[in-house]
Parts: sequence; C-alpha cells; structure tokens
Amino acid sequence: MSHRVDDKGCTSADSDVECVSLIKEGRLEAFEELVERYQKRMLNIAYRMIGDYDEACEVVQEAFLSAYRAIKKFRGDAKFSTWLTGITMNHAKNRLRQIKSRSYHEVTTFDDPVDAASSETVYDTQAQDTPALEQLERNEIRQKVWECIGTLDQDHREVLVLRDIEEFSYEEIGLILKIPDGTIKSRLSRARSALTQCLKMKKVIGDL
Amino acid sequence: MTIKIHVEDKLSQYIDGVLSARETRLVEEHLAACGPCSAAFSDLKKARELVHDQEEVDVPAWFTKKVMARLAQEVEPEKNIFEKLFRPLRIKIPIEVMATCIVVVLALYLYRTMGPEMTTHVNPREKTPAAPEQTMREPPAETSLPARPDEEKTRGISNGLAIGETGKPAGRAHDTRTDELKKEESAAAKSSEQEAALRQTEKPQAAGTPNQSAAGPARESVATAVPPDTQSRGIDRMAPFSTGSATPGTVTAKKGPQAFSHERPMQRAIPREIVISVYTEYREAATEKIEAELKRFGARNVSKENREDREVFIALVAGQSVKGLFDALKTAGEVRSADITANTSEDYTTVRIEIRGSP
Repeated sequence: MSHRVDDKGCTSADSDVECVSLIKEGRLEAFEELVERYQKRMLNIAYRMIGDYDEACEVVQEAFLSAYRAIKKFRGDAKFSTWLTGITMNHAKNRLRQIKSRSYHEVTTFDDPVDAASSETVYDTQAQDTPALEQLERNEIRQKVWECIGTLDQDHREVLVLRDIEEFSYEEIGLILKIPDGTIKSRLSRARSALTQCLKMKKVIGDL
Repeated sequence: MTIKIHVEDKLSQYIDGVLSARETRLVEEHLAACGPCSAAFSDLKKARELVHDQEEVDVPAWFTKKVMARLAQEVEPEKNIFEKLFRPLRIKIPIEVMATCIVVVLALYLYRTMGPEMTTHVNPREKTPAAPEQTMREPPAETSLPARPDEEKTRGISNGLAIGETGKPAGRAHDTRTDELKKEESAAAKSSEQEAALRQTEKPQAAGTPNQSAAGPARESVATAVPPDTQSRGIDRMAPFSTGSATPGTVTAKKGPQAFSHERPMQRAIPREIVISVYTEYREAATEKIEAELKRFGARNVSKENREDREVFIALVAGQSVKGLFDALKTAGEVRSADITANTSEDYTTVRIEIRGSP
C-alpha cells in the first residue's frame, strides 16, 4: 500500500484498485484522482466517437458520474480503465443517437479538429521542432484522416478508435463493447479497409 | 472476392500480430508472392500509422472541478440524511441529553406550580412521626394556646393545610385533593346554612388573595381543607393545624414528590391562628360588637358558631389590623389572648374570637 494524502483520498502512486476501494468506503476525494488520471483518455475516445469537443466533454462528465454511481458494481474483473471506457463508449453512442434523432448531426460530419481545439485544446507540441511546411502538410493529413474516421460506420469507428488510437487489446475491446472476438476482428478489418480506401480517395496514401 | 476479403481480414490481424504461427507463415508467404496484396498491406499499415498519429485533445482546465462539483451535488443530499440519522453523535447525544434535562426540569416546575395538592388525613394516634416536624414550624405562642381536644365540633379555617379527622378509622386516610373535594360535594347537601354561608365567603377569599405572599397556600387551603361536613359526619374532634402539638389531628402528607413540592410553601408563609377570648356577661351585645368590629377591620371569611357555652368567630384578618381589632374588642369585654404580635407580620391571619361567659 502506498502513501496516501488525506485530503485527496488516494494519490497518483496508488493503483486504480486502491482508489476504488477508498471510493467504496465513501471517500469521494479518491474519485478525483481517478478523474484526473483518465479524463484525457476518455475525452479523446469520446471526441473520436462524436466528433464534437463540447459534446465529448459533456459525455465524459456524464460517464464519470455514472462510474461513481456504479462504483460498487466494479469488482475488479477487468481493469478500471476498461470498465470506465465501456461506460464512456455507451454514453458516447447514446449521445450520437440523440444527436441523430434531432437531426443535429447529419450522418457523421466531424468538427474541424482545429476549430474544436481552438481555445481549450492544447495540441501535442511534438511538431514544434518540425519545419513549418512539414507541419502544415502534417496537419492537412491529420485533417483528412479525421474526416475519413468520420465517414466510418459507428460500429467500425468504435473498434478502430479503441484499437488503432487507444491501443486496447482485442480482449479489452470485447469487454468494452461486449462483442465476441470474431466480431471485433471482422469489424476492425472492415474499418481499416474502409479507412484505407477513404485515404486513397483523398490521396493521402497509395499512388500519390 | 471472398478470398480477397479473407486475405484482408488476415492482413488486419497480421498487423495486430494476433494470427497463429501457421497463419502468420501463410500470410507472409502470400504477401511475398502477391504484389497487389503486398501493396494493400502496405496501405493498410500506412493508414493505421496515420490514424495512430492523430493528435490528442486536451481536457479543459475546469473539467475535474466540474465533475467533482456535480458529484458533490449528487452525493450531498444522501450524506445529509445519513448524518441526520447517525453521524454527528458527538453533537447529537449532548443535545438530546440537554433537551431531556430541560423537559424534565420543565415538567417538575409545572408539576410543582400546577400539580394537584397531595394531602392526607391521618388519625392522630398514628401520626407520631410527623409531630416533631409540625411542632418545629409552630410559633411558640401558638403551642401555648389552649388545646381544645374536647370540642364536639369545630370548624377549621384554612391554614394552608388539610384538617384531620380524628374520628376516622386509621385505614381511611385520604391522600388526594380529589378525595377531599368529593367529600365536600357529597356532604354539601347535608350541611347547615351556616356552612353554606361559609362556602360563599370562602370563594371570594380564594379569589381575593392572589397577590399576597401567603396567597397560594391560603387559596389551596380554602379550596381543599375546609370540609363543610364536619358536623354531619359526626366527627368527634377537629382542630386547625395551627393549634400545634395540642391538635395533632392534622398532618401534611410527606409522601413522594408531593411532599417535596409542598414543604417550602408551608415554611414560607402559612397564616397562623390567633385565639382571642372575650369574657363578658352580655354575650349578645358582644356578638354584635365583634361582628361590627370585624367588618370595620376588613375581616374576610367570617364565620360564626353558636355553642352552648360560647360564641365563636373565625375570620381572616389583615396582619396589620389584628392589633387594632384586639384593642377594639376590649370594649366588648375582658379580652385575653396569646401574643398577638407574633403573627401580625402575616398578610392575613386567621383570628378566632371566642365569647365566653366568665373567665
């Protein structure tokens, strides 16, 4: 057992399971650590799924609240991150259904990623050292990839996001989406194939 | 086409490294032999890298606080209910104890001020334990007064105490004011005109003395301790408490809480009785004179008894008027009394005037 800070309940040194134990004991502060630990990852998953930054923020808040309410059901069979991702994915899909039902979001047209991150999003600073032309080209490619992800069916997009962006294992994806291994493989194969075709169409890959 | 899809599935899994060793070898052999498949694999690999290269969005700075605030809002009501029921025992228990104490004190206070008076009548032969206490409260002057154990009938005017009924069997002691009142009611029909008149005078007295220090006990005694049925019940002896040890027929009950609540008023201000004997040969004239003087000195609750050998007046006289009354009575005959100044400090004093034929 690692050291704990009283006012927070659990620290970054504590495992997810330790934090969850404290939360189950009624230590609300311990949940704050888990929020800080997973908020970015959950937000990116939701953002990839929904394509709208503000909606994604809202969805992830709801997901954390749901996770807290259901924390007693978490028995530790899966990793906390897997369990939380499942909740976030469910909220994201529900939000997408709501958006479609009110015809707010036609098919799946994702926000411009630059716009979405204009004020509050901080991009990776990895590209700061790269030349401006190369950076511009890279952003253009990212934009096209983003658009192509947006064209995927929801079923395909979710496995692609979980596997190729978040790098969950097949087993974890099975737990998150509650689908069998074969379904994951086939959906992932089709998602990649569709994405490749889209990127070819946009001349991002293939015969340039 | 089927074969192509099948190969694409395998390529996707081959990228992820989830194929078995045999499948992996087969795919690698196929890729080496199939140019389009090799190109497709290359595109697939490139696309995967591009997807993975997507920039991450950052979380807004307010995010954690907002989540925790929303959470706190949800959790707070539950916590409040829980705390109300169980939590702050260190605060809750003292508050409850204090509240209980306050209720108990309040109840005692109300009981003492408003509760029913508990008096009892004890056969004087049984009453020995209470006697010393009684005598202690008696002023010396009163203890020296002549006792009247041989009186056939008498009227005890309220001294704040119940009047004993010596003729009763020992087992018939009554404890409550209610019993006393019942007795009053049952005997009222049989009482004489004099007693009826007395009751009429008692009522105004009860209402007329609320502001005086002895008012409380006096009022109680008027209401409770004046049995108008003494004659009708054939009581042999009856004497007011204030006659002291010579009249042991009256005892205040010392039982339970009532004794506790009753003790202090007795010690504080109990009107005593002053007995004034007027010896005169002109009994009727003296009677008229005394009636007039009692009226003149503002006597209340005046009762008169006509007996064979004497005429008896009993009245409540203001303390400061006793001396004047005493002097005034000298005009009616030869006056004898104990120390009348002993009780003049009382607001109202019971004065018993007996008109006798000769000293």
